[in-house]
Amino acid sequence: MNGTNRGLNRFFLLVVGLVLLALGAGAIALAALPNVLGDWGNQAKSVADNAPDWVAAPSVGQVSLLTVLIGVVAVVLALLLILFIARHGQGRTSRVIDDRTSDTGRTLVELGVPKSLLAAELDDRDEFVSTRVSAYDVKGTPTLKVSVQCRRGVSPVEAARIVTEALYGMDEVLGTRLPAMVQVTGGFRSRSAARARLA
Amino acid sequence: MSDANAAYSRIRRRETHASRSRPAIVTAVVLVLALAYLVTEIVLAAAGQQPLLASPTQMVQGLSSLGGVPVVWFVVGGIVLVVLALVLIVLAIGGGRRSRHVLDDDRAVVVVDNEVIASALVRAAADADSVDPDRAVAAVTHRAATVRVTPSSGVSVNSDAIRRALDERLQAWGLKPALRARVRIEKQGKVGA
Repeated sequence: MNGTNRGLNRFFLLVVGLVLLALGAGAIALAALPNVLGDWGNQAKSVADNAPDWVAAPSVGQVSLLTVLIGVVAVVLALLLILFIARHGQGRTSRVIDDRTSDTGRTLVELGVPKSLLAAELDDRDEFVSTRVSAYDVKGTPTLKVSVQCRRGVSPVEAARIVTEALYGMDEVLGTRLPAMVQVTGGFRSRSAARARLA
Repeated sequence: MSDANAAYSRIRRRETHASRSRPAIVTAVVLVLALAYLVTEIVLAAAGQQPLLASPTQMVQGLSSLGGVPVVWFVVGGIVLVVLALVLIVLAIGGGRRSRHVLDDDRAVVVVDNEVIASALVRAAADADSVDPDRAVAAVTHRAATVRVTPSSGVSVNSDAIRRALDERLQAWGLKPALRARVRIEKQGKVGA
């Protein structure tokens, strides 16, 4: 329901995976082909001996210009990664209706309204251990998310019917139909809770 | 209504597939820590302080004198890296289906955890042939539901009746994707009611 960029997640995992694959394959190649290891040593030695000033000569303390550049790139990369982490799981909203179409003014309905309307219907149902109502902005459309945790043995269709009936009742009160998602879960508490007696 | 339909099919797809947020965040945190360490060493070296583990110069020297390291370590390290890389690549391009099913509904998108379906099927099986629900276990995968019943010793269990009851339920529920019912009666019964 949230706005997490899933394509970006997968792309990021793929890039890191490919880099690690290259490093791992390189390490194995170094071990498997003895002359590669020898070549590596010779190359490294000649590169180190012929290093230009900005790579080898200390400019800041004992650190060369190249090292400073690497440090700056590392800081920028780290900040980008932190931004990437922080952008996960956004998209919750607390406003379910924002109607400006009327001539007389603007109508706002906060999440509290559907929450209490649905709670009145669902809270004392024996079928459910708990219910939770939240709202997300799905591509600009506020959408309700109703999570119900069922007791052991409750038919999922029955659970869905109870919730959709409550949703229809809510539509009646609000005078409009809010898009909604119903999540039916079980979970540890419902497993350890006694089997509900249903008429 | 096509707008709402598009939104609903987007929600349906996203709720039945993993977001890959957790592995992506874990990977990013590990990378940030590694970069933070690198920057710390660079700053310490620039300030002329003692390194935590190895100064940048020592790191480069270590890389250029790899010849001194036993070959075994290359193989071990390489294999660890390759396995890690394959895990990430599979996460990146794998399907990522979550153990959930979608229920047809006019009003809302309804997603049901497989766990709930399993528990309801156990009850259906128990009601069909008066088996104690604690003696039946159900496992629900993407396309199949398997109910295992452990009979009480000496009491026969009518597996056909149970399968019929399960099929009937599954048909009526109309889960997507559809489930095929299977019933296994354990050979070894248990003593007691």
